[in-house]
Parts: sequence; structure tokens; C-alpha cells
Amino acid sequence: MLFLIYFVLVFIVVGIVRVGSRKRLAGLVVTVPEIGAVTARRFARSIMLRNIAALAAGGVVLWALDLVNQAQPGWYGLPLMLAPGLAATLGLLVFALCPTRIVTDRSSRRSADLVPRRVWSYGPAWGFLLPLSAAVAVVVFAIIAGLASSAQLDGAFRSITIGSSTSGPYPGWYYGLPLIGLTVLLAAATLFALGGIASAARSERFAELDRAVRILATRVVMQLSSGALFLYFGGVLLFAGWATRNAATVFAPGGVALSSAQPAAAIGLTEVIVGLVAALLGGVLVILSILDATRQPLGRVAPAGAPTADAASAQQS
Amino acid sequence: MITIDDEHPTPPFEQIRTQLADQIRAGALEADQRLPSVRQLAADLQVATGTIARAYAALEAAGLISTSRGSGTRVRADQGLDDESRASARRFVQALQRRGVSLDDALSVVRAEWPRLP
Repeated sequence: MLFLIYFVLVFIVVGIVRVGSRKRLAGLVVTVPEIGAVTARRFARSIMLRNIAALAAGGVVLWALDLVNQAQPGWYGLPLMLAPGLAATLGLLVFALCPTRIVTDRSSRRSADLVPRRVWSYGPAWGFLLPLSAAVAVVVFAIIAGLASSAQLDGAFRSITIGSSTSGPYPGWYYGLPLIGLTVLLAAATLFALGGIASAARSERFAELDRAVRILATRVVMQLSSGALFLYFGGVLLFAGWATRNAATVFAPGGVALSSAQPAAAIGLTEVIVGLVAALLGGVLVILSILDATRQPLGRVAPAGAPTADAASAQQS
Repeated sequence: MITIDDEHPTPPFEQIRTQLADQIRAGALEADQRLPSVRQLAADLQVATGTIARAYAALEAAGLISTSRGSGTRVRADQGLDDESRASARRFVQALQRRGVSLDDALSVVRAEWPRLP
């Protein structure tokens, strides 16, 4: 039931975001001149194939880690916690290692503009700063949770003790250290993928299509990496909050809360609420990345002689 | 924007070096402006990275640009000609273009006249 509510909420938010950004997305559909339609279509198809391959690779990792999680109950859910981040990392690596460019006949006269293309050139500043801040927050939270954690009988730091009450699973060092490593890995894969987008050769003849594809690719990369980050951060906050609240609350035999130690119980409740919001945001971003990854940047083909953005840029060069 | 032409007798490295030097001296590339990476320019112009690296090295040796690991390749300060010189050059170009003189011929005239004047 909870999962159903989650998915309904995710799709409602995705719908609202898509309707709100309809005009901006329409600007990313490019009209190409008829003379270059075959080349442009081939390019658009290769972009789509690359994106689908990256998403499929991520899907396979998710499925494999779910199997590992079921086969290894003694790992206490660690594979499941790492699954979104590892799936996104592999997807981003496939994305970066399959660069695509517009293949045209090599002209004897070739031009290049002198504006450097940087990893952040094709997206808004907040699109990079928000996930960067979230990644720092994950690392800080993992360290704080590690320091607050206590060891279980097997010696693994995966519970929290408040007074004489202990509760788990809690993201102590057992979960926290892999979580920090995963966040660093995801950040590196994101930078690698963005670097690939920026450094790919620019097409003079299809300048507008080239720009639209780079913007879309940056959106896909940032939504996928941010979505994965928020998904596992949300999950970690949820079970941290749950464990903290349980350890801080004294329950009657019937399960009714008798009293709670403050501020631990309030912190636990806050973690649960922030975790729910982060998980919702993560789900929304992942769905948006899938929608953008399967989006066709190529619009209608203009008949010969009709003015198009790319025809104009080809004439200028 | 720079352009290379495979059919031009000048090697690509020299075409790139000349155009960048011209743009720096003409002020089209401003002081401290960052230039594209060797990899980006090589990919866009479809030439080997060594070709761009050689052009950048020649410009650096001429004191027009500087390269550092942290801030990339940038145009050095005070490398452009002053406004009056540029205005004179513009008037000269306009006059010769009105007479239908080609760029190569105009440059030949300048090279021939340059040593004659004190």
C-alpha cells in the first residue's frame, strides 16, 4: 500500500513538472533542413540507443543487487541500500563510454568556435549545485550517524542506543562507509559523463541539433545521478529516523508509546519526514531522466529552401 | 571562430596559430579570456591533438597566451594593439577592399612598405 501511494505521488509530481516545463522542452526539439535529414535521423537514433543502453545497464544492476540481497540475508540489506547508486553509476559509465557525434562527410574547410565547453555549460547552476550539496549532506550525515551508532553482537556498527534502549538497523559505520564510497563513485561517474558531453566534437552543420542534444544529455545525467542520490539518501534517512525514534521511545506491551526521550525522538521523526521527501524527489528525478532519455530531439524536417535554425547556422559557418 | 582549410598550402598548425594570434592582437580575444581545451579544439576541427598543442605552444612562446594546470589556457594581458592602430588598420582594409585588392596582395604591400619607412 505504501509503495502504491509512493508511485502515485511520484507520477503526480512528474506530471506537474512535465506540464510546467512544456514550453522549455519544446525549445529542445530541432527542425533540420531536408538535405541533412538522413544524417540527423541517424544521429538521433544513435543518441536514443545510447540512452536506452545506459538505462538498461542500470536496470540490470538493480535486478542483480536485488537477487544478491535476497541470497545474502546476513548482509542486512546492504546490497539493496547501494542498488540505486550503483545502478546509476554503471548507467552513467555506459553513457560516457558510448560517445555519439554527428557523422558527416569531412569537409576540407572546418571551423570551431573559441568558447570553451565546460561540464556545467549545458544546464542551470542550481542543477549542479543542488546534487553537489546533497552529496555533501550524505557524507556529513553518514559520519554523524557513524559516530552516533553502536555495535551489534557481531561487532558491526548498525544500531543506535539511547539510554538503555537499542534499535536497528541504523546507518552506522557498517552502512555509512560504503555509503560514502558510493557517493564519491557516483560523483566521479557524473563528472566523467558530463565531461564526455562537453568534449564531444561539435557539428558546424547541425549546430542547433548539437546544442539540443547536449542540453538533453546533461539533463539525463544530472536527473539520473541526483535521482539515485536522493533515492538512497531518502532510504537511509527513513531507516535512521525509524531506528532513532524506536530507540528513544518506551513502548507498552501492546505497542503503545508510553514516553519518549527528547530531542532524539523529534530528530527521528524529522529524519523520517525528510527521508520521505528525499525518496519522493529521487523517484521523480529518475522518472524524469527516463522520459528525457527516450525523448526525440529531432522535430519535423523542413523542406528544401525553408529557413531552419540549423540551416542558418550552417550558412554562417 | 577559427577555420582551417586542408587545401591551403599553409599547414593546419600554422593556420590555427596565425588566426589565434591575429584575434588576440586585434582584441577579438580579450585579456584573460579562456581558450578551449586542446581536446575540444582538436575534436571540433578534426585534427590531431598534437596539432593544437603545437599551435598553443608557439603562441605561449610568443607571449600571447599562458597555460596553467588549474586555469587552463588564457590570453595574456596587454597583447592587443591599441585602439588607434586598429582603427588605422580598419581604414586601410576598407580602402583596399573598395579597390578590390585581395588579402594576400594587401599583406604583400604592407610587408614591402614596412622596411622602407623609418
